[in-house]
Amino acid sequence: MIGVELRKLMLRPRNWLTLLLLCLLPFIVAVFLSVSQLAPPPGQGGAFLSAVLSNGELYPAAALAMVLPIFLPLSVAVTAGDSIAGEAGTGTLRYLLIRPVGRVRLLIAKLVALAVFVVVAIVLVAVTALITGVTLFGGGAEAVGQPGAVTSLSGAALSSDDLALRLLAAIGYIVVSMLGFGVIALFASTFTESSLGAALIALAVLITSSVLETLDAATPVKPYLPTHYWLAWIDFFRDPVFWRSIDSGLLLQAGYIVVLFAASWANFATKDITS
Amino acid sequence: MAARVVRRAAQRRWALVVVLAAVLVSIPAVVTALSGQATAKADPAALRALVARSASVPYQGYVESTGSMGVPDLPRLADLSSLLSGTTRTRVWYRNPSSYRYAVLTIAGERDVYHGALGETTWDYESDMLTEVVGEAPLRVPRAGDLLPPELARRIISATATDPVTPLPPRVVAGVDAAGFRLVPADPDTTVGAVDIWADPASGLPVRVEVGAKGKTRPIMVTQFLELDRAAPPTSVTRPQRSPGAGYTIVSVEDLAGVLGAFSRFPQQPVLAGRVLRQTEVGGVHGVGLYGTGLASFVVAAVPRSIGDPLSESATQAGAAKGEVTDGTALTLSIPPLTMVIARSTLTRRYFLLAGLIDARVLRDAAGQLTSLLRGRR
Repeated sequence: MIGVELRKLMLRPRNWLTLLLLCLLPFIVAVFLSVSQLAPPPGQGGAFLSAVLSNGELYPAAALAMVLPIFLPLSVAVTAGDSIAGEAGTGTLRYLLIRPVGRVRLLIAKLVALAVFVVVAIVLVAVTALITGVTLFGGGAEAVGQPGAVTSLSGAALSSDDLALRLLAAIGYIVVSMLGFGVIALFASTFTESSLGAALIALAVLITSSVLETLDAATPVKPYLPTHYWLAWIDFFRDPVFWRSIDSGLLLQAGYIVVLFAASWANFATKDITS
Repeated sequence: MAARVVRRAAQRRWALVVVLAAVLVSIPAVVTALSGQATAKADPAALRALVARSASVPYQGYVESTGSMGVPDLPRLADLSSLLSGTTRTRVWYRNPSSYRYAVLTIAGERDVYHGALGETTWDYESDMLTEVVGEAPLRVPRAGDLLPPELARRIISATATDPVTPLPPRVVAGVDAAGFRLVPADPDTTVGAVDIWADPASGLPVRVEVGAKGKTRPIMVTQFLELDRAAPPTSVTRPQRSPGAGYTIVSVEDLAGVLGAFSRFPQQPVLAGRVLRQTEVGGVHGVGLYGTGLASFVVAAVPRSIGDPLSESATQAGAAKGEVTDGTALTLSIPPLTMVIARSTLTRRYFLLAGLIDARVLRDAAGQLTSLLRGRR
């Protein structure tokens, strides 16, 4: 079942188009930066963008910061929202469950496929950004001790190995964050036959969460908002690494994944399948 | 019949989900409850004395300081405004008074201050610059390091050494069973209502401080550890590291003293509003005087027009009350417990900035004395 879902995921042109668009934004920004040689000053513009001109190896971090607020959750919402609602909308859900395929197995397969999509999307953005960054801005040759070395947020120099390790950790963290968000869309997908509707529900949650983040009056609920710790991956680039928000973010997303997957199961397992 | 069975199954599943969600949401509260009841007890006066001597206690951790003073954006003092009006997230590594580091965290940046035996070094990610400060900073505006519970508590206690203290119920702060005491400033003119301090009764390390203003029910400043490790941090963390990819500069203290621009040279009065001039050069900077004692002391500076004009504009936008003083005008901005008066003399066209945790009436009286002085007259 998981194999079937993965094959469907890979064979759907729409998913590849989504991935292409995700990688395109950092590429376009890199081209502009490279041509103009005008990076925003540190602290302004996107995170890490100021440092990429001197070392392209940091561009994956800048690219992830670029796509994280909107593009990445948008693509995750569209893909996850399509999981069950898409099958129902095209009339294939009933036939799928007749095969016979257990509903829980189907739900698990959909979750695994979503996780694979999230991993592929984020890794692809990071890899294409690394290639783009090193090609356009240079890197690698500039080791620590020479101009061009990457500086952490705390001012310490980061070696290439250290940077790679922190980037991998950041990618892992973003994967978990996006999976937590994707499960919201998956849950919505079990309620409707419109994949667009499910994606919009997830995006409404994203926007509401982002708005509440800016509101002081919402302080007590902020630690529970799905987007609250999304930017905590930046803390991997402090020296020493600041684990507090990272740990909290991982626990929060694990909570969302467990509760909303259980809610998806509770709704989907006894739902009348009419299409 | 079949429909009823399905409905019951659905209800069981949803009940399971609700229970699961409730358990997960309640985990933080359960963890807090399991961390133990606060039972610490200490004599308030003895605890105050212990806190005052706690400068040698090492610690490292994470602090959140929340100010709700609503200070408007002041020219060249944006950091101060955000410090007093928002939440500041700070990591700190403290070995002893001459070796520590703290880092103010922003979403995608960081500002570090390293304090060593030879002086201070600052790192600012936003300017991509490591700055070595030669010598001791004579005058500086309050900064995040001053709001760390140990620093703030010791600073307040040193200014109120004989004021009365009463015990407070203990509380667990960052895993520390802390004893508390309330300090009420004795000076009737100060706008500080009370200061609540909780500290480790064994070492005297303050872990939480609340500053209340007169007439306010909620504290206007709360600073506390959210993570605390009482082990001394390694020197590798408290020593600045210079990245070859970052800028590096050395500045003398005089450069930093000019945060507000050059202070005007002006003869200081020995007594203002009945308060005696205690320091003629605050931190060695000519033109800035400190009057009075304890929390009711206030600073007075004659500022140039290039600072006075925008300062007046900001204060007016922030709702400062305009009034008359002898031979001049005065803008009074009260952001409890902070009071600021910007006075301008009609005789000399000079601006004076007066600020302190003190009643506005006292500052206006002092401003009236200053604005009525003729140039160069003592």
